[in-house]
Amino acid sequence: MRQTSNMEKPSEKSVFSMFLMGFWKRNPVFVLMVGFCPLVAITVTTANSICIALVVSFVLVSSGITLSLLRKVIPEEIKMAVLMLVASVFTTIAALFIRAGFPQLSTALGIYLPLVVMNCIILDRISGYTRNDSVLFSLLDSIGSSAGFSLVLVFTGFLREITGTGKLAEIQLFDKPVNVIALYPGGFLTVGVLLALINWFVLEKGGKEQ
Amino acid sequence: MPKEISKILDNVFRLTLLCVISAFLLSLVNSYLEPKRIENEQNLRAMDYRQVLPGARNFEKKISGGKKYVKGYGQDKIPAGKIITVYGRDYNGYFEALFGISEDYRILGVKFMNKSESTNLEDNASKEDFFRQFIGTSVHDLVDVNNKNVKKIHGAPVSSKAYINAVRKAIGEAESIDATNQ
Amino acid sequence: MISNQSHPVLIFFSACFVNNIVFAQAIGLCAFFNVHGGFKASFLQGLAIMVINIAASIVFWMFNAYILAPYNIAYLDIVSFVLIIVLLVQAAGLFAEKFLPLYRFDLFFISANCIILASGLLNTGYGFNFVNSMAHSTGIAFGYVLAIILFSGLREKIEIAPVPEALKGYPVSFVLAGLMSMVFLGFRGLLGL
Repeated sequence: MRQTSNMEKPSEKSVFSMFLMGFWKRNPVFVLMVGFCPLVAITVTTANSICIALVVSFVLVSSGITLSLLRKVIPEEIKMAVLMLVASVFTTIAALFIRAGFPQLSTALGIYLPLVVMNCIILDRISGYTRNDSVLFSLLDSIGSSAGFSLVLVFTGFLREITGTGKLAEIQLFDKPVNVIALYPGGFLTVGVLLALINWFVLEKGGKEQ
Repeated sequence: MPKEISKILDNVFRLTLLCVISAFLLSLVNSYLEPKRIENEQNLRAMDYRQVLPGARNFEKKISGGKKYVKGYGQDKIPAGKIITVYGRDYNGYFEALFGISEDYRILGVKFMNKSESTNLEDNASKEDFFRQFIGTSVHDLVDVNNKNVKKIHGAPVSSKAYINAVRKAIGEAESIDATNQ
Repeated sequence: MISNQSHPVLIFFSACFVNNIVFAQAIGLCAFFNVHGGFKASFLQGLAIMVINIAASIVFWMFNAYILAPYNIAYLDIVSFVLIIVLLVQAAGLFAEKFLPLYRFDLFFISANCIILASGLLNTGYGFNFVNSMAHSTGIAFGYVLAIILFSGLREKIEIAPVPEALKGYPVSFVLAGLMSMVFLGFRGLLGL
C-alpha cells in the first residue's frame, strides 16, 4: 500500500485541509510507508516515543521553513547535500539540548536520537519543500506530517509499554506482563498487527462504499 | 569548459558557506549547553552517591592501588565511608552496582544499575529488594554463599549468586583499599 | 559487552549475529523493507551497502581521529558524517552510472544511510581504534547482508502463500521480521557477549 509522495498545489486547498492531508490522508507511516525506522526501536516506553516525536516534529518544521526560505539560493546540483546539512544541523541542536537537559532520556534513547536525521519522513517531505513557492504550505504540511507521525509513535509506545512491562512511567499497573512485546521482536509484531488493522479498516470502508 | 568550472566552483562556494554558517551556529549552541550538561551530570551523580551513603555531604574521587573509588565526607571533613562500583555479569548481561561501605566495613546502601543496552527480561523492583537485605551486614555474615539467611531472588539462582559475589567483592575491595593506604 | 579491549573477531561476531543491525537493533528498516525482486536484487543491495559501509567507516574513523577529537569539536560529528555520506553516495552514484547500469539507485541509497550513519556513530561511541572499528563495520555490513538474504527467501515463500487481504505487503513482512528477530535473540550470551 504505497502511494507516491508528490506535493499538491497549495493554492487549491484551504489551510485546514493542508494540515489534514499531512495528518491523515497522507499519514507518513500508514499511507506513505516511510519513517517506520524508529517505530520498532523507540516505542518501548511512552516517554521515549514522546521525546522522539517532539524531536522529529522540531526537525521537520524547522528544516522545512529553512529550506523554503533558502530555496532560491540552492542550485539543483547541491540540493541533496544542503537538504541533509540543514536536517542534521537541527538534529544536532535537538540532540545537544536533550543531552544537556535530560541525561537519563538521552542514555535511554542512545543512538536513535542522532539517527532521526536519516528518518525517511524528513527526507521525503523536505525534498518537496524546495520545489514549492509558499512557506505557509511547507509549515502546515510539516506540522501535519509530524502530528500524524507523533500520533502513531505515541500510541504504539503506550500500547507496548502497557502490555510489555505493565508500567506507565514507573507506576506498575498490572503484574505478569508479556515481556516479549517490550523487546524488539514484539516491536516488529506490534507494528505489523497495527498496520494490518489499519489496512483492514480501510478495506472495509472501501468495500462498504461500493 | 570555463563556464562549467565556474559553475562547479560556485556550487562548492555556496556549500562551503552553508557549512561554515552551520558550524558557527552549532558551536554557539554547544558553548551554551555544554556547561549545563556537565552540571546536570554532576548533580545526578551526587544524588546517587547521597542515596548510597546517607550520612555523607561531600564526595571526592580517589584512586588507590589502581582501583577507583569515591570517598564520602560528613561534617567537618570526617570520613563517612567509601562508595565502590562493582561490575559483574548476571543472567541478562552486564550490571553495575554502587555499594556504600562504612568505615567498619558494613554496607550502608546499594544502588543497582543495569547497563544492558536492551530491555531486560527481569524486574528491577525485585532486585532492589534483594539488595536491600544486605544493608547493615558485614562480610562476616556472607562467608558461605549457601547461607540460609540470605534470601535469593525467586527463580533467579544464577543472578543471585552473581549479586552475592558482587557484595563480597565490594567489601573486599574496601578492605584492600584501606590496607594499601596504611 | 564489547569494548575497545575486545578482540576484533569477537567484535565482528557481536556486530554480525548478537547485535544484528536489523533484527537486534532495528536500524536500517527503510532499506530492508523496500527491496523487491527476489534473491538477486536483495543480494546486490546488501553488497552495495557493504561496500559503502566499509568505505564510509574508514573515512569516518580518520575524520574523527584527526579532526573531531584533537580540536574538541565532537558535537559536529552528526553534521560531518552526514555530509561525508552524501558525498560518498554521489560518488558511488556516478561510478554506478558509468560501470554498472542498475536502476532505482536514488531511493535505496538514501534509505540505506541509516546503517552507515549508525555504524559511524557506534564506532565513535565505543571509542574503537582503527582495526576494531573496521571489524565492527564489516560485521554490521555482513549482518545486514545475512538479514536481507534470509528475508528474501522468506518473502519468496510468502508470495505464493494464502495471506489475508489486510496483511498483504508490509504487515506480513513486519510479522516475519518479528519472528526472525526472536530467532536472533537466541544468540545472546554466546561467547560471553
